[in-house]
Amino acid sequence: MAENRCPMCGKSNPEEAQRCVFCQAQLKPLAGGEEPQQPSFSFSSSDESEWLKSLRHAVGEEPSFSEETGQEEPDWLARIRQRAQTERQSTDGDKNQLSSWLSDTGGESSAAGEEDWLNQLRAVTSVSQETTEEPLLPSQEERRMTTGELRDVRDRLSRIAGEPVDLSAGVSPAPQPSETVPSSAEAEQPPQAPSGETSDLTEWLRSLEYTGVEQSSEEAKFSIPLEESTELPYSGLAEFTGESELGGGPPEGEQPDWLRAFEEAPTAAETPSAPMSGEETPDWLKAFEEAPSVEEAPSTTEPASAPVSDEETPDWLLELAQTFVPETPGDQTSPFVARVSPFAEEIPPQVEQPKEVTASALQPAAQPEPTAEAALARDVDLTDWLAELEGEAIDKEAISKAFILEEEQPPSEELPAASYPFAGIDADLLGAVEAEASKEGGLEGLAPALLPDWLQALRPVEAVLGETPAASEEELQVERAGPLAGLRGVLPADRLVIQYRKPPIYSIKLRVTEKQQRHIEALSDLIKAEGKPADIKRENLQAPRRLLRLTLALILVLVLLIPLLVSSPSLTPTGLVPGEEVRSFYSQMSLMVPDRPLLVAVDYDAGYLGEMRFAATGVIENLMLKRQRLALVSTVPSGPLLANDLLERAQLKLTQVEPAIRQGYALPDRTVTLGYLPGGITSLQEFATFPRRAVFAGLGNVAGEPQNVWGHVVVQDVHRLSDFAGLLLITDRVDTARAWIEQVEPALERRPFLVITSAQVAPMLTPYVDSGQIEAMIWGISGGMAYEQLAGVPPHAAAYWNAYRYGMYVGFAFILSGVLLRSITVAFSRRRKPNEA
Amino acid sequence: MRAPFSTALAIAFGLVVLLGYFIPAPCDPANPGLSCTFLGIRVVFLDWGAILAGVAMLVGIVNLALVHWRKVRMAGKERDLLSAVFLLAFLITLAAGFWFTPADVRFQRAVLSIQTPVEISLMALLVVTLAYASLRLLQRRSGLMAASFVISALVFLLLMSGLLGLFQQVPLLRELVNLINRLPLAGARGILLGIALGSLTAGLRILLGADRPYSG
Amino acid sequence: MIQDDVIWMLVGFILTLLVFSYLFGDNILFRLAVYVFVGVSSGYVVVLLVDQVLIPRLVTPLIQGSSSQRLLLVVPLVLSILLMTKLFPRLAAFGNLSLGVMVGIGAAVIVGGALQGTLASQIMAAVTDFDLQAGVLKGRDPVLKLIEALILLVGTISTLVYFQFGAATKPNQPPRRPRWIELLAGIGQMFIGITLGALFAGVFAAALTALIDRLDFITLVIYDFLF
Repeated sequence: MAENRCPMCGKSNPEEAQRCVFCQAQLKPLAGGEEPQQPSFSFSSSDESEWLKSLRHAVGEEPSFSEETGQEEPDWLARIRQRAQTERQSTDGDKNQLSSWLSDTGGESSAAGEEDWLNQLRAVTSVSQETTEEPLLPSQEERRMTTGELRDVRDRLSRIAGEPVDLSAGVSPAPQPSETVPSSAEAEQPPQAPSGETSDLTEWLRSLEYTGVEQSSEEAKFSIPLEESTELPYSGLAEFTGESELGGGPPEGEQPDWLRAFEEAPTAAETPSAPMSGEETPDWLKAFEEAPSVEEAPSTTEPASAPVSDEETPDWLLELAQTFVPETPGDQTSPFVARVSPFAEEIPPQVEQPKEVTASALQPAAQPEPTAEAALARDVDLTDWLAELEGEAIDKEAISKAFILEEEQPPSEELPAASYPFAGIDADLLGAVEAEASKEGGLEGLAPALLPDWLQALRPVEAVLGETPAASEEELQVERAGPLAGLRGVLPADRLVIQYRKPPIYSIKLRVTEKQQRHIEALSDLIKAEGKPADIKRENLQAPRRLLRLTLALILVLVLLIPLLVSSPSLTPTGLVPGEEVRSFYSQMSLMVPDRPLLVAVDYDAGYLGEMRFAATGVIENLMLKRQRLALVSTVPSGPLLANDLLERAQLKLTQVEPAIRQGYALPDRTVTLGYLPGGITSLQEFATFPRRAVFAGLGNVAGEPQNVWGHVVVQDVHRLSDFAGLLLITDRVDTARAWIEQVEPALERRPFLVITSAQVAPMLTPYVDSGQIEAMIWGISGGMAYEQLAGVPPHAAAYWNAYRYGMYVGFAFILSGVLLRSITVAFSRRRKPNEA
Repeated sequence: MRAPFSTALAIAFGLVVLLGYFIPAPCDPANPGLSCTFLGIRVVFLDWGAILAGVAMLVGIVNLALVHWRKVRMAGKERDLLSAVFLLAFLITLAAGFWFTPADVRFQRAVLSIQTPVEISLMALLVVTLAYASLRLLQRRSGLMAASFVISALVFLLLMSGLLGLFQQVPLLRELVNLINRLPLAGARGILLGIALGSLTAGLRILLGADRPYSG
Repeated sequence: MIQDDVIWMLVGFILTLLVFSYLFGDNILFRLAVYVFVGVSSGYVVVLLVDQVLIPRLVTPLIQGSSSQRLLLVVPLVLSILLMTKLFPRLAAFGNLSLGVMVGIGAAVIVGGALQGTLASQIMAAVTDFDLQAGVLKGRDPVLKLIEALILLVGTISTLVYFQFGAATKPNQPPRRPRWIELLAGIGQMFIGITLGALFAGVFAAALTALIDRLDFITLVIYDFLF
């Protein structure tokens, strides 16, 4: 469905709508068929509020340049509509009621005069304006008004401005419809001001008149700036319309001058025209006199010039007229217009309220002086004084007619909607206002707040807030907290919240993938399992552990002590058969070259001293018997101590058999302790690469006499590891053996690598024996005793062998007992379960 | 990246040492060449590593002494008087070692006389624990591995005791005994290969900077 | 000297009994013996390190060495000082440099040793077992040799497979290894059990030997003192 945008407020309406749903402005032109140009601003609530506010705060206050984008508040429009309807009904007979401001102004205008004036204004608004380069308003032809009509309107406005205008007397005859709106050149001519008494009125009206390019900066604030004199005052509307459909102001960079003038603080105000009453200037007119620049309606396209010419038709008039365009095509009276009584009479009867009033009809003439019509045309000005009108029974027709001059087009033409406010002002209303003003001797003492009901209904702020205490409370409420503390009139956050859209609701449902769900289940099961006590199998063995351990220890001690105490020391071990590996070891030892020293690595802990004594002593004895030179090195801290202990024990044992061995094999001469390799495998790699650098200081350096052990006779010819006869590693650890095998064995260059190890390590070193990296290996007490048997060295006492054997049998028995016990327990438990079942 | 400089040093030193494994050695002293220079640098690095290892052990022991010192100085129930025994023994041994030097037989005898009985006795207590554990071998776990473990333990206890040595006189039984003796070789070889692969992986991760145990 | 031997023998005897008191449970006597042992061992290690590392490798070359030796020693000296900062928590970060050097060198040595010392040689050994001619030369029956080689090969591979725990994950199913890997892992379990059983027997034997040694020592002391 094609959009049908309201030229007043910019809202989109259904295509078939005649009136705007929001602001009730006429959507389709009353004459012609042109779609009205999008006004730069609309007669929105914010606009209304701004121009009304500015009317109120005209003295010394910064124009409240509304930056609201003209958010429509349908509520106020609905109220306006309602009020308009009621007022239409009630203003038929109430033409004589004038607002106090009209009496203050002293302007007593007869209802007829008002009607004429309003009709003239209406004609102005309804006359089509001249098209410009940026046509925003309907055809200017539709808004053309005769010069005479414009002059009449101007007169009316001037009278209202400050003189006790006798509208009935001073009202110029309503302009004839045949009269055309003067051209732009004619429009440039300022309308002749009324004589004497109306000079003041004309002055302020003149001040409101749009003067085109020649207008002062103050005037510019009241008018839409024209880039050229021939341009319509609403040419700046192009910027507005391009900027926002809601009637917001143009972008800052594109703001017309007049609008910019609104932003600036008005320093000097154009002296408005004299107040309507010659005796006393009403407040609202004073405001015009002092600071007419304050009275800006930035969002409105109020023209500065008189609306008598099509170029200078004020926007506010257009808007006002637009707002109260009759809902029905035949109804040309708007509720708003109906209240403008003073001018209702002056609206030419021939000029009917246009259906749609475009801004072009209210485009001001290129007259430098503001006119009363221009002043009146400003919606900012009018709303206040109009609101004071009490007459609900104002003849809307008369009022509207005052603002609408005769059009060149036939009245049946539907003029496009305009953004000026008084396009549809009822002439009756205007006449009523004028009459009241003339009665009371002028418009003096007009209180800005005294507005007629129907005008008040126009104001969106009041219409929404309804002058409720909340509205006034807002203005009077002083912010007490936060950064805006102390300021008055701060927008309450709660109301602002209402204005915002409902925030989007996002789904809080968590998306869980299948994989995540599995992980969740696994984790939850794990956590649940943590809370559950683990099922501990009940142990069938009830005996206290400590007692059991003591029993076992006692058994072992007895089994081992008996052979130690009972066996004869000379008894030879029985059942000790040297295995293949022992024989291989023995053969390797036999092949060892005696003129080269043998490198002995003592890398076992003191805890294995007992086993190593049984395993290695025989080998050392054999080497001693062979007069083999030995170079001892170690990678464990206690290695040098254990190495010396091993040598001494071997020599001591050998001495028992061969007493001369002590002299034949002097340990200091035949053996040398190279020292301690601190870095583990790093030192072994260094030792394999450069043995003289890896260890060179021997023991005893603390005394301050470090000696280079490589000068010892045993190793003085050794520069590389291959210079040794071989390597004999005595260790109790797999890692140590592996380190020696990986780091040192390659440097031996096929020299025999023999290992004496513990029984607990032997199975792990068997692969190295199988691969040939270890030439031969013996382990434990059995290996040592077997080697002693092969080598013929004095064996250890058979008691030790017997104790060892019996101990192994006891261990075997313990394991077997445990297996049998477990089997019986399992068997009994299985029998018990079927029985229980 | 945490500890970039330490990582760079670790990688640099490690690569130099690793490359030395692939350069033939020894080099001819008469004609050194580039390889000898490189090997010389490598030996220097290895020497520095050995020195640092010794200093690291020294730092560890000093830290142990400081911990016991703090324990002695604590108040209340947290005070451990046995830490004073440790400190006393530590300081006395330290003094005796610097006085007598490690080459002195008396010092060596004194140290061995304290270390050997304690360590051997602790090892002897292990028999009782193993005996107690052997009674409950199948009560905790049962399966193929447990069963093979028990059976293997029984068999090798007998083999080590020399009981089956009498059977080696019979050729067939000798072969059988030899086969039984070599059965652990398969598992041991697999374990050694696994250890070597693991060490290789760990070493390469450090040399590539993936692992930085020194950045803590 | 004899008196020294007697004294130290008595000391050893007392310490042995103190440690054996653990059979009755943890007690102060046992802990006393252990604390004395740790103290003496720590002190000895410090003395040995100073004697074997600091003095001959750092102090003496810095004092008596040539300029090139001193220059070369600046690096380990600085690194050693930085390593000592590990004693102080606030300065511990400075020791990371030294640790980095140590770890880098150690890692390289481990890698090189594993490559040339174990991996290559053990793989070759597994293949060499199938050399039946060498077995014959050693007087082995070739059939038995072949069977033995096969058993060892299967055992080696299955042991390695047992430690491979990587498994493909399937949706809504726990990760499981393929069936053939599970079968090999089961065989590997058996061989690992055999090896561990042999190790257990060896540990038992070693511990038994230690007990024999201590019992012999105790009886010797008692005999010497009583008789």
